[in-house]
Amino acid sequence: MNQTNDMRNILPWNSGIFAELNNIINQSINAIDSEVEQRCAGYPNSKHQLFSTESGWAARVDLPGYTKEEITLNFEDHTLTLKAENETRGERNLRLALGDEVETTAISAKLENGILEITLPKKESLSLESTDIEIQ
Amino acid sequence: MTVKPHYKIANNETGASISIDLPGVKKEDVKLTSKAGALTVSASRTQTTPEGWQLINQAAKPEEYELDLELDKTLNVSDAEAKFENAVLTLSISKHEESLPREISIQN
Repeated sequence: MNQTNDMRNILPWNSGIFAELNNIINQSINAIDSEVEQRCAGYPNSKHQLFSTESGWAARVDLPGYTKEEITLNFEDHTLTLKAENETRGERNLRLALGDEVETTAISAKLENGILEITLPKKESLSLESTDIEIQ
Repeated sequence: MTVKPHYKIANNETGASISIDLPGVKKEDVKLTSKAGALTVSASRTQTTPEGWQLINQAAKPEEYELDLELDKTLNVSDAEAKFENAVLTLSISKHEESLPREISIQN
């Protein structure tokens, strides 16, 4: 697992088409993982929708049967990790790899009608704006 | 798009318990009807997408849920109890009186 982190520093995995490709691959892997998990547990996959928004990303995850206390959400190294667990429905996992820098302090999530909506704004790309420097 | 919701049925001696997943549905949008041993659940999932949001994965977007269940004749469907919590509809249906296991005492 650590080796892939190193590779991501060298190759442009986090920009443009690679981000999308990475995302598709991860989703397929996650889908297969959770498919196997859920088939064993007797429950279906967690369906999710991933959006690109004007300010970054947003995800909507179907999580019927869980309260917000039973869900843990974590963001680390471009990856959003979700785990929902209770006795009745067992465990459900989801991992989404996102390209571009996410402003981690501004991530918000709300659970309503069994759908967890997560908004992940991108960092303001201030470094790309040019600043005029006054000469004394 | 109308889809069949995921559900689970658990049977025991006194009846059955059915749990139906209805994510995105509000309690007032669930319609539950029974007719001659058949149960129908229909619900609409209202969810607006904010302006500027673009879907980037291949995700199904269900709008309506519809489920028809043909239940065992021993179950008393008309007396079903329903509760809706965390977007899961749980139905408790007990068997008809005469179908319940009963001890018959033998006369002398």
